[in-house]
Amino acid sequence: MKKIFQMGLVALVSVSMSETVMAQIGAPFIHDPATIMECDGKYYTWGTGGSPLVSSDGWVWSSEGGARIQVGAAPDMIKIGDRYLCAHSSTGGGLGGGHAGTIRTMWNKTLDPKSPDYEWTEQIQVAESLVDEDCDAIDAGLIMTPDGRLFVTYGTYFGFIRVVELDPATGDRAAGAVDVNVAVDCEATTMIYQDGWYYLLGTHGTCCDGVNSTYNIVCGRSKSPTGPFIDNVGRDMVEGGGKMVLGCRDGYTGAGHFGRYIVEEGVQKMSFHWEADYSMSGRSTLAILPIVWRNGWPEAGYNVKNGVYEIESERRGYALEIATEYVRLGGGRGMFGGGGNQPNTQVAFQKLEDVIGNWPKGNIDVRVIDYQFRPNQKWEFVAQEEGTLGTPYYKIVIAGTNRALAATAGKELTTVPEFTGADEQLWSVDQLVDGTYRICPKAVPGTNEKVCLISVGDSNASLGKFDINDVNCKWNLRQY
Amino acid sequence: MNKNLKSILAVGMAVVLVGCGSNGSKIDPQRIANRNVEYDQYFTEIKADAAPAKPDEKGFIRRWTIIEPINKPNSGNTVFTDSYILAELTKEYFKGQFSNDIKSLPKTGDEVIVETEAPRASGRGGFGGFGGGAPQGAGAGQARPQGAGAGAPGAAQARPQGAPQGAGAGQARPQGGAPQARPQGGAPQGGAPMGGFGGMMGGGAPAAAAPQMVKDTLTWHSVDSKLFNIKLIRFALGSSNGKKRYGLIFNAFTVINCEQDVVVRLAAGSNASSIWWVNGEKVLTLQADRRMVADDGMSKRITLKKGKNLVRAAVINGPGMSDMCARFYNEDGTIFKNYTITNN
Repeated sequence: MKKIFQMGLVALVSVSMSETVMAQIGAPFIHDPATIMECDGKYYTWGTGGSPLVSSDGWVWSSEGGARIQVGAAPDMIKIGDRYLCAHSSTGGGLGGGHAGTIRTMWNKTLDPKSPDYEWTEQIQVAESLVDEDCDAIDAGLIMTPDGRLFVTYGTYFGFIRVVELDPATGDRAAGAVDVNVAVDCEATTMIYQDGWYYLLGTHGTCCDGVNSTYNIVCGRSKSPTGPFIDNVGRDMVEGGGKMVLGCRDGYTGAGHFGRYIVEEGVQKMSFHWEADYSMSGRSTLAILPIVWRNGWPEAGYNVKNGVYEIESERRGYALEIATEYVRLGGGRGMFGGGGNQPNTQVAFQKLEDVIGNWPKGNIDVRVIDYQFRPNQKWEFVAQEEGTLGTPYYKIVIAGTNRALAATAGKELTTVPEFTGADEQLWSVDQLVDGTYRICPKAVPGTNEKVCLISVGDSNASLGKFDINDVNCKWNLRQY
Repeated sequence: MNKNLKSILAVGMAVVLVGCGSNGSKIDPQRIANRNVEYDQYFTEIKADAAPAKPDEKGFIRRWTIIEPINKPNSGNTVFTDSYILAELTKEYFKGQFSNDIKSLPKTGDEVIVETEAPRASGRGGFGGFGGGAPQGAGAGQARPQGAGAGAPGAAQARPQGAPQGAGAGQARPQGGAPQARPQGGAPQGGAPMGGFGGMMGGGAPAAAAPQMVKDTLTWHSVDSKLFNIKLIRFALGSSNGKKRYGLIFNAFTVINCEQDVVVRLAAGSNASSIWWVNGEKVLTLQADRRMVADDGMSKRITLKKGKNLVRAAVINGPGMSDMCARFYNEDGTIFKNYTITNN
């Protein structure tokens, strides 16, 4: 039975990787994923109904290794100290029915069901809505503020979204806490903090209609966790306001149920589900994309699609190339605006076959220089079937060849004539919060140090420690 | 905007939770006290000769004359295509429904008799489940009491929304009414494909068979909303003693009194679809299943003439939170508030 599952997994992976790299691979079927949690080297999330997804690398997901938890709709999780707090909900209502919902919390020391410590504590009811008020207390979202206060947002399409403070020690309501209306008619709300602002994220649009779903994630922001949350045109979310974070992308419909995972400073991921993944029979799937902050607002970034790119340094704007003999480009002369009445002709591009014969056969170093769309400056990114949180590893080769970018001992760079799939030839490519990219080798021979591609001077590249505030660590991937 | 499979799922989840023995802590009664969904929490009924009102601080029009809703028992909102909206919201159910003659506008308390589709019992069957496919508890559907206002659940601490303008003599309408036993969908069914729930909300299409028709007496109500938005679901429940909640068409009008001709845009939001007319001209359509968002749609430039201008709105929704809001913008993007609002 297990073998059959694995075969199916491989088939799914193959199908997915032949398409794009915007959703997770494996068997990532879920709806309303909780914010992703890491526990003992694995990533976990749960969806409505408590269905689990687990991943060892953050890219390939399946339900294997997880345990269903007894929750209702749309759980959320947060790690506080060495414990995990789960908030979840249930309602006695239904489509066309009442809206008596409840929000409950419970703790666990571990998320690994095989651990002897795995045990959920008794549930605590922390908020509720009655059968017919302008709120339905489901879809909990948790946030810990920078000053250590814990809040839960809740509510759905039926009326107000509310926030109430919890006690971070117990998970119960904070003493004297009052529920505050902060938005209306959202689903799957949660809150995040960024640069002095609290952002309330919720889902608008139509849920649960497959490829016709219009689910989309919106947000407003406030200086207080209790609002008011105002969108980018000045609308209060109580008036329905919300700036879109993500709706759909080609082949993927209906983004909903936002959660944020901070990998490290400058690297943020958003987890959510697609209502329908066209490459997976229109099923609802887990998705993880980078978060890009633009003008103070979060946006869904992009994983790199398979294709040919210029790797442009953020430092100077030069392009990464393999250090081969400089061959002057043929044809065409500027003539300073002259040239009389001669008809224009197409200048030939330098082609790979024009120059590759003179390239060394062994390893070739890399350098950084003016981009002239030369063959030695065009890099093909090809996603592999393993990865890191939310992004696959890529092989990065000179387009038209199998010459691969590789890390070397001593934390330097080279290109090897043939890609072998070795760890030092696999690269994670994460879009950063400012929209640039970080490019990191999976491994560097001789060290366990985590490093990334960096500019050294304007014209050279190396490997070094990542720092979001260091322009040398950032690259832009250009397609023309 | 209301279709939420999670709500359907929740029926099953409630069963799961009860079954798993979750305890739930003791709830302080104070924290759910004063949660009120009485009709007069939302509306003040006004007389036909009430003093003119002004738009509120943010320019929202709170005075409307609304007829009790017409049954259109869609069990979902996927049917709200452009052509469907146009057909259903321009269908004349009673004489004068779309009249532009301001002198003959109905007065609060006026009644009309319409022939409408009979309300359909709500409730839906089980569904495939989210991402799971693991066995779920089987079980029969639950019959639940559903009376409007039952339990008078209250609002949380709402931030101030501004006081209603131009209040007239209020008529508090009783809320509540006889509970209705409503069938709910059965518990989730096991064995569904993992995550495959596309199209499961696809219900709501008009039944192939001719619907049963009934006579319904509807009354006009002139109201001032206590919120910036007009909570149509609360209007429906309150004006029908809890008998009308979902699957309805709402028709409303208001009169805008201008001191001079002015070029404006009408900005509106509705849950779900709506059509808006100004002086008989259709100026805005908000199609498809949607939530009410202030300024969701905005008309082309229109001229409000000196004197009285008639604004009509028609809103349709299946299950869920029905409401609407509207205000005017000047050409320069500022909010236009230099007018009064009457019901005739």
